Amino acid sequence: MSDNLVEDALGRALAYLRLAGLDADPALTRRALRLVDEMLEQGEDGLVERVMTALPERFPVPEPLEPMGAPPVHRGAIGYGVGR
Amino acid sequence: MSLAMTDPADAPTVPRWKAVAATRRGLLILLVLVQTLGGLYGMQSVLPYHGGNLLEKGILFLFAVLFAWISVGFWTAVLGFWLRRRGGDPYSLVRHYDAATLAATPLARTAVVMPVYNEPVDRTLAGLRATIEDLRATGELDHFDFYILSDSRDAEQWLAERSAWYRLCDEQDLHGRLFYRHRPVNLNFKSGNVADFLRRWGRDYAYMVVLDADSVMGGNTLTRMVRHMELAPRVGILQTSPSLINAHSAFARFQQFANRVYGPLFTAGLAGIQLGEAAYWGHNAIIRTDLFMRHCGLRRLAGFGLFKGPIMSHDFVEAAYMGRAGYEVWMEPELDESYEESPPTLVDELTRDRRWAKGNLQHAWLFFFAPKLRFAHRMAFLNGILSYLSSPIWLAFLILTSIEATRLTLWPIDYFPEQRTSMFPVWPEWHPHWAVGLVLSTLFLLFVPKFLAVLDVLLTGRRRQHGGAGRLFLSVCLELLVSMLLAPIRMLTHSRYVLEALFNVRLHWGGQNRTDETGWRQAFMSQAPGTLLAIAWSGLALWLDPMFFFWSLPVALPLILAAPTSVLLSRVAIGEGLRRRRLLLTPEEQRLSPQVDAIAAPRPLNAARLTAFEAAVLDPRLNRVHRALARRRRPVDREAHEQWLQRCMSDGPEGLNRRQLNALARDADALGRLHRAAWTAPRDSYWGERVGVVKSRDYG
Repeated sequence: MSDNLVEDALGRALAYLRLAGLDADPALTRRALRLVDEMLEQGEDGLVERVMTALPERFPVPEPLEPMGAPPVHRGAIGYGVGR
Repeated sequence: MSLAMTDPADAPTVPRWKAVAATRRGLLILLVLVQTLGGLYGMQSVLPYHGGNLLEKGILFLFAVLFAWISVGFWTAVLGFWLRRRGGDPYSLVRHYDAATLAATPLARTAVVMPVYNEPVDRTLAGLRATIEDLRATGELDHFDFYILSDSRDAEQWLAERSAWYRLCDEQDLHGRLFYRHRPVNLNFKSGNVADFLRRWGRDYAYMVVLDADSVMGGNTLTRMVRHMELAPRVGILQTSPSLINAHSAFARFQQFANRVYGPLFTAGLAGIQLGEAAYWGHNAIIRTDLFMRHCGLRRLAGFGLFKGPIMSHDFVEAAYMGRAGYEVWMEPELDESYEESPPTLVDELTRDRRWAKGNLQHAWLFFFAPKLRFAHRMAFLNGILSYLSSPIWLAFLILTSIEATRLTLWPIDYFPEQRTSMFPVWPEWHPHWAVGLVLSTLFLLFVPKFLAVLDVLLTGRRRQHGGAGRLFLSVCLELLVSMLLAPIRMLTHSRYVLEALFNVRLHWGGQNRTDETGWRQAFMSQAPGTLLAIAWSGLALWLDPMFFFWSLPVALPLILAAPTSVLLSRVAIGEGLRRRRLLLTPEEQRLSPQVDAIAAPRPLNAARLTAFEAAVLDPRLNRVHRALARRRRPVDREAHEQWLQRCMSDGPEGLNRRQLNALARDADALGRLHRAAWTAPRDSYWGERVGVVKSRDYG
């Protein structure tokens, strides 16, 4: 078994969760480690992919506020005016 | 409900300012005419044949235009000085209402819009953040919405803008109040960008405050402006006079100092002449949206060459159209806490001027052919045109005087010029004392306004704001020296721009550089033509007549020194060194100002170790944001799109061109697939390495 592979999978999982807004405390690290351990039972091949695919289901991350790029459009027109 | 919908025709009387403006303008024209005729008489006396041949007639004509031009500046400054000594202009808009009336006036819904185009993201949004925070401190933030209107073309740029915008929304708790709109097609430049905003959301707002990418405005100033607009329904545009801030390079600090010391006099004078028929400068102004939408659309010009196509410099035209519709445009120097930045280097200023020169010259078409414009706005066009046209006129004047000197030295005296009908010979006459007097009077017109400005600083007790009387005097001397060094460089470069504009050379519309210094190679390359020309000219002058050589030096020497001047002035170390010696100080450099502090060291909104595209792919929150705002349409060429996506998944974005990267960044499905692929990519692949960066604890 490659230690680097496991380390990489765990590192990715923790980085992903941190960026998604979860605090990387010891409890979270232990849960992530369990996930990697679980996925490793299915073999080394495709470990990272399985871990990253399972991550969203196993770790519900806080939903970012739906971005509102712009308010609803109230279409108007640009006029060219005339001299008085 | 806003008071904004009043028709000016319903207003009871002709405003009193109109009579005052007519008197002031009449007086200005009279003074300039008399002064120019006096100068012309002096110049005629200096010329050996007293304007008796074609060459001298040409010299006299060019001299008259230049003398009148500096005369206008002189009398504007004198009026500004007089008005400031009186404690301000009693006819200005801000004097119409007392503080109690103003404070009791309710605010109306206002959009603060910031058009951006390839600008430094953190600095730009730091200005907006400072404006928002200051408005929040007034307790009136709820009346304002904010729009970042991006015309940026590169995915890397607009993704960075959008990521930073989202983080700013989080930080300021302004989701649903602070908006970001990216326009993929930059139709009609900045005015098209603002027009696009107005078409979509203009009807939602009584007013629109337009900011530039380097603008910052105080909350109290913004609320005062809205209240003035509410109280004066005849006013269509209210323009502030922005102060320059946040200068670091020597060049920018000289501009900033000049702006703070001389600026108040000129803007007070200009505002006093224009009153309710002022110009709009394109930013740091409030606009009544319904009037603007009704009257200020810009048709494409229908002329030829330069005078055909979209209007490039839109602001003066929009002010003129607002005036034509019967509404007032005011520029109010007393509205403080309005800021912008100077270009950091001479090269950047001249790059910007290239665009402005073309835009201003284009106004000649409107000056002559636009119907029913007000006289003051036609004069504003003329002022803008002459700002650039005066350079080739000065250059032509130098060429003609050089020809005159050459002719007098090398050719025999012409006692019977062709135009002369008399049978008596014409004797060339020399009046050196007239020449000296003429030079002195020209210097008087150029420099007295600056001395008046310094006097104004001293009389209004502002000397400490500039480091005390001694430092102020020393700073003014330095500024005079630098402005004399820069004037011929600007003259020659502007002359080239005017020729390019007249021959309608196509321009690339680029964002402004606001940070970098000028390198020696770049400076020598850009200044070489002027330097060589000046060496040749002064060499010719020396060969002809040592006296002529000395006369040529004030113009030739700055051109010869143009490259080192440009490089040294661009240096931040020199600018900061001058600051440490308490030279060129401005008020904002000495006292704490939240707006200035906020942009001096902007808090970054984007993580530095990934590109914006990489962050949009890898960062789960940002990826979600960009996907939510991306298109969900199927790409036109699905096969090619899929190839770009596969290439990006395997090799990263570096192998893709701008169009391909834009296509992927705008596609929600592509961003989602890239996100999944990147996080599962092998460690030794492009995305695997970028995940390695993200894994480090200090990222994000």
